[in-house]
Amino acid sequence: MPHVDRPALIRRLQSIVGEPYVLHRPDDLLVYEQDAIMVNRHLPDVVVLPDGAEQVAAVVRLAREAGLPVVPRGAGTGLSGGAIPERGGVVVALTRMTRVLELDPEGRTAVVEPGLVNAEFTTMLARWNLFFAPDPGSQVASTIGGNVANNSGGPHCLAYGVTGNHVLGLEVVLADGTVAWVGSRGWDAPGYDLAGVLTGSEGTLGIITKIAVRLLRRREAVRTLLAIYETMDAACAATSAIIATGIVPEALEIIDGVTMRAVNRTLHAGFPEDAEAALLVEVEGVTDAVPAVMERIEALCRAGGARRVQTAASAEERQNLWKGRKHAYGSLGVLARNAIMLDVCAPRSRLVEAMRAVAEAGRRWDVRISNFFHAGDGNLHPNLLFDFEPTDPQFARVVGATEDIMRACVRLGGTITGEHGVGIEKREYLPWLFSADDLAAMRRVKDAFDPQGVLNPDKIFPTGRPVHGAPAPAGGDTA
Amino acid sequence: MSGPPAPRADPTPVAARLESLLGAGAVTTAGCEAWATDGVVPRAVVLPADADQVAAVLRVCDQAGAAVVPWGGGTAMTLGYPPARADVVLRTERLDAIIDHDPSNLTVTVGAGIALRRLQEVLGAHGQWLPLEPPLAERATAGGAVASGLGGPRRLAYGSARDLVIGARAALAQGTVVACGGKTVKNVAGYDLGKLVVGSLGTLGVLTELTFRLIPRPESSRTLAAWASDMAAVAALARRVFDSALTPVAVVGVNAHAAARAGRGAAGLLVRSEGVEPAVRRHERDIGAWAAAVGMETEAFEGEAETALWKVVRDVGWWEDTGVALRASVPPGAAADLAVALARALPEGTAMVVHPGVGTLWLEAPAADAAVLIALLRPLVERAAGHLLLARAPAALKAAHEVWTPGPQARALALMREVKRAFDPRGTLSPGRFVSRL
Ligand SMILES: Cc1cc2nc3c(=O)[nH]c(=O)nc-3n(C[C@H](O)[C@H](O)[C@H](O)COP(=O)(O)OP(=O)(O)OC[C@H]3O[C@@H](n4cnc5c(N)ncnc54)[C@H](O)[C@@H]3O)c2cc1C
Repeated sequence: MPHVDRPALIRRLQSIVGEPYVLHRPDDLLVYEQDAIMVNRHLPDVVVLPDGAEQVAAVVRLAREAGLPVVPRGAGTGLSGGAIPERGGVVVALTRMTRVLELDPEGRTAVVEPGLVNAEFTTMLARWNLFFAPDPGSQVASTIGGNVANNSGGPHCLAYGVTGNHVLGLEVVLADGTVAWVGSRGWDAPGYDLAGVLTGSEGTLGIITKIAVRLLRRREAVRTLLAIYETMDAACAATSAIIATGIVPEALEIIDGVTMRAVNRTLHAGFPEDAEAALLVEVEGVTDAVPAVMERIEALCRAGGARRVQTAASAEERQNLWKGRKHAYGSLGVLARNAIMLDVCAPRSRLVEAMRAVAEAGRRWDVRISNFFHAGDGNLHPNLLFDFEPTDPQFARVVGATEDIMRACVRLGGTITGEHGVGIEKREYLPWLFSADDLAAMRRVKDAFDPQGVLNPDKIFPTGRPVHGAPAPAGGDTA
Repeated sequence: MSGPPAPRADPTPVAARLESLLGAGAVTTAGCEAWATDGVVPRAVVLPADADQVAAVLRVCDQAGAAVVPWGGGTAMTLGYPPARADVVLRTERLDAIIDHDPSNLTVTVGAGIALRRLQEVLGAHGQWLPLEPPLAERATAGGAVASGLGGPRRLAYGSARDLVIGARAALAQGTVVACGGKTVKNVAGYDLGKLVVGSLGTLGVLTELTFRLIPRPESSRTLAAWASDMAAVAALARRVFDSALTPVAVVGVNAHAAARAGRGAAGLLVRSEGVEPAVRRHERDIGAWAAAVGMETEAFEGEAETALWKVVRDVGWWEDTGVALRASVPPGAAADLAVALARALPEGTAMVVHPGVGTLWLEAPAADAAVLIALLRPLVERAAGHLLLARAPAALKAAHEVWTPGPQARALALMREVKRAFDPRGTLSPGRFVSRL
């Protein structure tokens, strides 16, 4: 630590946020060495849990003075390593800031703090028949601040849009320890759309301390359909057909055979053991219209060769159909000790080819892959399964397969990340999508916000280092 | 604009150098008055043929210290402050290709200069459309609509340019062409720079290419109008609609003066619903019943009549060349009350439409009433935590009144200055035109 010695730093941090809210013992730091990505970790020097923008700003100013990087963190459910303090430094965990500061049910807007857990917010809004549309699979744990920082999606983003479509304004603590309001509590705030750029910036441009969001009214009726297919090709073709017809359902997810069999083992979900894909479709709207739309989707599913189609209207039946999808991530454990989840996208017109490329990469590198994903958005989540540690030489095969899949999606006109973010995991691949000039333009934005590189350094931008380098020596009190 | 000083001016006049770059037909120096922005007349008007030529024009102008004003359909050139300088008008008209329409991905990539009208025709043949409805859409370009960032009536359901642009390419002041985003509806690879150009009035770069997400054309669309004697009744009905599970695509209140433009004589609420026929019927039934219960008369619009009605609503502010346009943006929950308060106080002859779901009010009035209107609106809008935009006014009025009030918070404004400096250090692109005369 260049300018402030460690005991003094801890003391001063304690005087800003209060003693219980500064974590510095190795045991306490351990939880903060990684997010939900399993192949990277690094201990922070210290973790602070501030309450309010003023405290966050004071922490940032002190960290600057101490020459330490600052890494914002929500619930740590990120899947790209965005919250990992790669260079140590100060982790600012926003999890104490969970208030709903303003709520206008009539205008369908609210202002919340970043540590508020997504699902808790939506549960709270049920009284007013409202909901916060972004519904990442992690919503019972992930924070709204994390959702905004990663511009997260979720199954129902197909119809309702990703997090960024619901953010009106933000209060942010900037790298110099000042506080700014960007955007507003309504649409069309004057000036450049800085709230739009901050959304998805993964904690590299500012620490979000308040979020003005728009809310949606709950729909009157919901219908869910599950269609079973012999082949992944057929399920993907059915997805493309539904989108091409001009029906945009609220959700359109695919679960593959490997996942269905794994879910059967953990949940007894009753999926057929020999099918290769299930399509899960949800339609919402006014009671008068939903059945008619669902009938059409059902007809398209059958015409595409579905072996079996089940529909559900009651809440209980619906939950049953969703069970497999909801528990897909949890069932990975029965398949392998370790997994890397990719987040590639392909144009919806190229889904069949993209999923063939996924299967081909698995065969070529001898890596088992399970898939459950947001098919309607063209957002694939191949899970590369392996039973060794990332330090094992065999890990190179896994990396080889991830690179084949990303390259294939880029070639098809897609992208390397649809919702999980670049973080540490995908930064070296950005040049596959962007020219040096394109990246320089992004760098100009980073420099305008954070010229000294205090906030979440090295994330998003290529570093030129190996993708999954050997873990760096740990920080903390023992270091 | 501070920044590195421009290199010593090249003795060859800029126009001559641009001519050797683009060819004689693509540069005009005569009749430039027609290409004035708020009275600031350029010395040359150029028509580059592609993105590389746009970049080359910018490079030359940037080095020569000549200011460039990008120009699409010219429908929104009244937005912003009069530019501090405008040496060269860069018209995007020739960047009009449909580069990649992928119907089954519901996306389209186009040259930024394409006329929206032509684009909608091509998409319409595939049963799709781009739900972008800026004022005077028939004459607007895709790039201009994005750079001006004005939302239209159906923004409530489909979002605005900020939500619809999924990829972009722009030429920067120093002559590089950069891309961001792509053609997938979800994409978080790197910063979302597309957000920066939406509504930036071309002050950060000249858009050359845009990729949009599209939506299918609905199989049914109808609008129910409920007429009332005053705005309070209109606001109450709007509340009833938003308190329900209905999913209208546009909900707009109009005052009697705005309704007169559509040949009607009273204030009213217009509710448009789209989708499958049973959904549209349900909207008509419910809203019709709620209106009848409070004694409001209803009228259904469909087909060409519906299109004509919404065109009137869309273009409030742009009806008369001699008028001024004001836009108030407030938190959506405050819009209906603001409209009711205004309805009683507006000068005679002011047209008003209010979009309660998105918190936008548009007003058009004769220029003579502008000062009164601004004085009336400003405190009301500020009290509602909103913003006022003087969207169209004679240059003399703009000299006397700020265009955006209140401006961004001070620290946010400082960041915007940094962003401008990062992309356009010499202030080549429409200097002085944007918020706080950036
Ligand atoms: C089981 C599971 C399912 C998932 N499903 C989905 C899904 O369906 N869709 C999806 O998009 N993602 C999904 N994710 C990924 C992840 O949950 C999301 O990215 C989520 O939004 C992260 O929120 P968090 O609070 O955990 O953020 P963290 O992981 O703590 O942080 C994420 C990033 O945001 C930054 N950050 C956090 N808070 C702030 C703040 N207040 N200000 C500035 N920067 C901040 C961090 O520095 C980091 O870069 C899933 C993850 C898991 C484990």
